[in-house]
Amino acid sequence: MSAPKPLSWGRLHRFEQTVLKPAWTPESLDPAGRTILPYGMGRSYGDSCLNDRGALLDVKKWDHFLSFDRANGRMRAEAGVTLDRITAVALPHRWFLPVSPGTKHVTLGGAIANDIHGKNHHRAGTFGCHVTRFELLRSDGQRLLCSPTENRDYFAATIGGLGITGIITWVEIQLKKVPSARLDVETIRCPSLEEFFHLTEVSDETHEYTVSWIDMLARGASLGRGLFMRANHREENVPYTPPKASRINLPFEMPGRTLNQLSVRAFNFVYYRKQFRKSVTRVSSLDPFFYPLDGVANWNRAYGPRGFFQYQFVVPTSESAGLVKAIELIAKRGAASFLCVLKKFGERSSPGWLSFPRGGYTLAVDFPNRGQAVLDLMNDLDSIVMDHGGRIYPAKDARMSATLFQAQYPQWRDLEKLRDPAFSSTFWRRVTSR
Amino acid sequence: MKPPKKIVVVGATSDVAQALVRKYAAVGAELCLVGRHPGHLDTLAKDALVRGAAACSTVALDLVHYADHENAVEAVWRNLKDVDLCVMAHGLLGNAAEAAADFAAAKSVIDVNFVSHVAWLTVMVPRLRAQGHPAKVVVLTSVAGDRGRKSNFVYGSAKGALSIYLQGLRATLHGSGIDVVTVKPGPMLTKMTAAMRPGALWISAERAADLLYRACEQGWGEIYLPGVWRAIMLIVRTIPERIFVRLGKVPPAPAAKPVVQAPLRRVK
Repeated sequence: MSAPKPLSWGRLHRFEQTVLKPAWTPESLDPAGRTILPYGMGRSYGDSCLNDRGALLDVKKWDHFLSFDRANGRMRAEAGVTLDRITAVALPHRWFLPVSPGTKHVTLGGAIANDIHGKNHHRAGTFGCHVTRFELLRSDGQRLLCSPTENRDYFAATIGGLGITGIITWVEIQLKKVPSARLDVETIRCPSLEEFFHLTEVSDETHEYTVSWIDMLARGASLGRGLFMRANHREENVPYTPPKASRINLPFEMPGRTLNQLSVRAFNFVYYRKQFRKSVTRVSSLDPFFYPLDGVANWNRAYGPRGFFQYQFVVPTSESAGLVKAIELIAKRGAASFLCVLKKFGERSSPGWLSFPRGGYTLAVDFPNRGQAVLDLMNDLDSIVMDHGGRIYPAKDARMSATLFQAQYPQWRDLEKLRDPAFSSTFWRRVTSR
Repeated sequence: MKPPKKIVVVGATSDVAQALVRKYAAVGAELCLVGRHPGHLDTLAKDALVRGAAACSTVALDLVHYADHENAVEAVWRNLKDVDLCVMAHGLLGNAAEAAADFAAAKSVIDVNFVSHVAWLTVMVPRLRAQGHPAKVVVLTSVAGDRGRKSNFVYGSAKGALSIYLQGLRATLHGSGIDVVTVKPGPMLTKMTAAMRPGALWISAERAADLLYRACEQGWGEIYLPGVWRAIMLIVRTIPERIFVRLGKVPPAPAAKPVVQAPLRRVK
């Protein structure tokens, strides 16, 4: 048994790359003639966390906390510390992540490099909005302290900078105070997109967290039907109990055709009807609400040996017609899987130059890798997204063209100027080639 | 509430020790970390404090500098005032072929894996006894010390010597309130073994630390980690030598050595 090859979450690529596993944050970097790319938990879906024929610098050993002020919620930790460890340390003191993505198994470094977002984007913005400081080690030996006031260019380039501006050694973030470790979650059956638009408008005012699951196979009058979930932290004085570690694991890849139209349609049918009442309110601990899929380890193996694509885009609020068109197209082709998430981003802007979120509607859809048909569909979706002034999330992407990327992220040239010459990724080479 | 347990961890930067320190930090222990690299110790101490340690100090010591042990032990008592538990987790795997062919390499492996323990415990044990209350010494040796094999027998012999030393120490201290626990881990997925191919019985440093924690809290005598190694090594030890010498692959003969001393690869 040799060490498994590093993959991205979509399991689409099998690259040759050297993996370096430094036990401690280094004094200096020695690229040894190769390009290097930091690698954390490998939760990016496409090729932004891979470096074909180069080296990956695995930072998982850099998992030490450096300081935590329990009075003001300021925490400093090495870049390889994962968000679930932060929660475990901070939540007993009623501090929680300011922004929580769909999985808790991401490193601090990865959270910055992809400027991740969560169900409270309409209030809190992205993860980068809560980063107060970090240290960036460059291959020329420079150690740059970056913050909104120090080395501001590097700060802005590195947040959402896809790991190519150098290696982040430690990060300081501002946690947020929460009244308890539980949530009041309301799930509302949402029979149409119109109702979603209405609900999200109303709920963004009243609820800290909002997100929707969409039945992507429903068409006609049911187009965009789904479950709308909204939540607030519960005001209560109940001692914190850590979540149980036991969980299901998918130990091997499922056959490629396990997820087909029939099984997905059946799942969606049941899931949409899981509640009889229009609205159900329950008390939930944090994990099932924020990280439902973390309950099944290696769930990405369900897509079989060929892997899967995730397509996530955002269109401005005024361009909701683009969202409707995209959902219509996906429903018509019947290509989607059951994991389709719809959310309205707020207007709070990120300090990061290449940060993905912007005010508007974002949709994330999984497509099993069925070859050309899926690629064609995503190309057609690209046109809709472009026509409506939207953009695609690099952390999820494995195939967008250089032209498209450069049109959507005009500041890519600024990032390229601050890129560490010894750093690169398969994604970056793909989207910056002429 | 009980006062926090006072623990000194020697070789604190090893992966298993790091994971053990985190477990004790989470229950609010007071820790003193001993190791070679002051910068790394400092990082570990900060980490332990964030995770809930009542206090965490460090003492930098290269364990093969035997003359420094007296001062280091003194520093430990200065920091902790009192010691309830001492865990020793340092080690050097070395390169088997080098250690078999080059005396300097072999001596280095024996120094780190045996002599340094004797040096430390010789200074430490009288102080533990002088405290006048129960305390525990937990030392990591290895299943490799249970029988000399073809592969890496210099490492194995050092660990074996250590196990025997600890048997004697345990017997000597019996009834004194000082418990000596020998922990014999099988191979683990750590920095020390990063260059090796892992097998079926290999365990992670975190799993090892869970078992080690239990050994520290309620263990006695000799503990295999995980326990299945007790059965395996019982069988391994009973195989007659005539048969045993034929078993296993012969490790590749080391390349002819130049006269200059070969560089040592420290894997710690």
